[in-house]
Amino acid sequence: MRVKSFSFVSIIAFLFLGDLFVFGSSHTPDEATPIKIGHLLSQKGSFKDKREYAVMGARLALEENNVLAGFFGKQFNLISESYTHSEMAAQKALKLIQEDNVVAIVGNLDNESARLISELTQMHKVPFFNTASKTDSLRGVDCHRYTFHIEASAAIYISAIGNWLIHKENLTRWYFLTDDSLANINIYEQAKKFLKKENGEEIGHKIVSADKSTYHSLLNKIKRANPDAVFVILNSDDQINFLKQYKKRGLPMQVVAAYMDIVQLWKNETKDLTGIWPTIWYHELFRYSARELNNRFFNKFNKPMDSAAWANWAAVKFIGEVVIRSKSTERKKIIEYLESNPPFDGHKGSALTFRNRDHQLKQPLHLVTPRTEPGKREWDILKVVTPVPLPGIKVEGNTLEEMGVPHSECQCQLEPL
Amino acid sequence: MKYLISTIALAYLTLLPDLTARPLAYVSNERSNSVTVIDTATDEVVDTIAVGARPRGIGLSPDGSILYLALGRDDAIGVVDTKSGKQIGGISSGSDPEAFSISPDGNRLYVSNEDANTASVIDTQTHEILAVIPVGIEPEGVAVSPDGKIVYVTAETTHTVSVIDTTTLAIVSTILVDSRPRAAAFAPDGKRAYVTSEIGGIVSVIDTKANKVIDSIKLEHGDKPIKPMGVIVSPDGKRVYVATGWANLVAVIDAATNTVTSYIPVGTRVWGLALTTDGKKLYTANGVSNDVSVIDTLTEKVVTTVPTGEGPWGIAIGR
Repeated sequence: MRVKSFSFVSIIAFLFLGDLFVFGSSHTPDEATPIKIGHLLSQKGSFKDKREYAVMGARLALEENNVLAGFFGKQFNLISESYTHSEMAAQKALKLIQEDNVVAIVGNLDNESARLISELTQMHKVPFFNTASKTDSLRGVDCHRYTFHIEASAAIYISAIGNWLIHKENLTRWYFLTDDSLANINIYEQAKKFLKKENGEEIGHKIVSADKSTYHSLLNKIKRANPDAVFVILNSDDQINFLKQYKKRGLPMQVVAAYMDIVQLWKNETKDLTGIWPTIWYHELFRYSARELNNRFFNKFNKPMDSAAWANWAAVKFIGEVVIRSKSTERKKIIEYLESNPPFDGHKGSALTFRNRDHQLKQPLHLVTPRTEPGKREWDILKVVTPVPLPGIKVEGNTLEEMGVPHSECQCQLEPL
Repeated sequence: MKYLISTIALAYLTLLPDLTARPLAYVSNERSNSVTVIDTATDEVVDTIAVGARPRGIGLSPDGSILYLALGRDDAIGVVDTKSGKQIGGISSGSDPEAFSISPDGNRLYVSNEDANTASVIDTQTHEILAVIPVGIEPEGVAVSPDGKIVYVTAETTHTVSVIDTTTLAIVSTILVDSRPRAAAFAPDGKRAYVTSEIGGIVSVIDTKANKVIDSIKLEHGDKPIKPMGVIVSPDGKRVYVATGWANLVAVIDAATNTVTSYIPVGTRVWGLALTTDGKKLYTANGVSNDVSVIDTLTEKVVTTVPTGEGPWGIAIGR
């Protein structure tokens, strides 16, 4: 994801303009009115491909919510809006709040828009569920009381793969590869910090330009540096390209990534790919009740459930359950209910709750790697290495509560309700 | 898959020794496709019955002559003649049946159909499906009230219990319980029902007249996450026993105060539970240690452990 130059002042001004009309309004639909959930979707860059999966996940959750709601004489509607730039995202969000009177907004948004919508929903006191942005500042200095994060933070992804490298594989000397985007440089800084805290050693760091087609000389450098592990932080297409070349070159060092967009993987030839990375969902997960959710999704859409689909499913599903269980569409009560740590079932085998200090969903992840043997279906390209937190490893940061930015370093200060 | 009863086989089977003369415990073994038969007087294995694929849910007809099994990979309810110890047939049930319950008169089976989000009502004599009733999403546990008038069907994804009137075969109420309800059990007087919720870690106590949750019992034991699964109520209604899966414990709840009074360590991944008719012995199916723990309910201690087939899941005990 690239961070482009952006006039934040103009957007804030825009927010206040919107605010003149609705600030302080409350949401009080009558009994017969369908309860509306807003769904805001980025169409920027790689989000074009993810959008389809985000929509499918939300649709499945809506259907499930309406089975539940139907038992109690309620109904949910999903109002979807798409945008191509952040100013437009703000306009669409205001429309969802002011015209559609949504009970909450689910946002499958790029980092820049997520920050904007988090600000906006805080001003309007509308619950916002972030399903795509991994940026840690949204859970730190830029956190807001009305924002909840289904997607894991970059620091959580780094903890997931980092703990595995250090505490499971004893690979402590890392070589970093990043591109020059601000987002990926930030992830590198986080990973470097993690490595230092774990008494590991940075063997090298190479910044490459995006869309680089060949990594021949870089692979030579890595070979000479001889790290224990190579940590790749690139955009999806570049990452796939690098991991293919890495495998072809046959370097023996473990190569890992902070995360990978599987929708992009599905679009690529992946049999010559290597590496290990964390994911919040994979369609071949079967333990606990993951198989049932994956089957429902596949039976409905004839496509597998990816992480974006799961995150958007979870957000819409959780909102529906909060409204039904709390018997309220009042936004403040929704926040209070969410902060009371109700156990959600994300089909991951344990109760999912939001962390009180930063509103991050505490959830198990899985490390995955490309299959060496072909799977049954065209999508079955990965296999699970291990769940995270790592079973049987008792170290700080290997728990759902402490994965990511440690409590002592959390800069999030949530506003009063 | 359809099964036909062979009259020749039946004639042959009547010559075999009678295994129903004493109370027997039948344990479904989901990975070895068998049923382990335990004599509850001696707690020794007296027979192993080969059955269809992936047996899980298990139940006996009121007279103990027929053992029913949910055969997940056969998409059927298997029918076992307990006298001969042979599977003699099966009833088509829809895909991957897991749990069912038998009416007190033995004339009906109530089956949850997980993939279809329905409950099927099956006539045990004709094997005819009398009704298919839409319930919540991912239906699982089924329990019939002692008087046979209502059936509870839990649904894991909607976190609901559908209450079915067995006369009209219609849903009369839907109760919202805690996250991911699994099993349900009625008190002997039918006034209370207990529903386990795996993700919530809760046992919901339901007033069956009002169809309302009147209490929620949180299961907690040290730092172990407790996921309540199987549940059974003692014949005198004073105790509720709850299997806790990977916590490897049976929780004992005082039904008068709705509080957990003790946790009994048992085998690994405890799931199905069954009590002898006098309530003196509790049997637990331990799915990973491949055994059954036998608990003296007075001392609340495991008195013996009986090896089973692979993946014991459910238990039914005859009268």
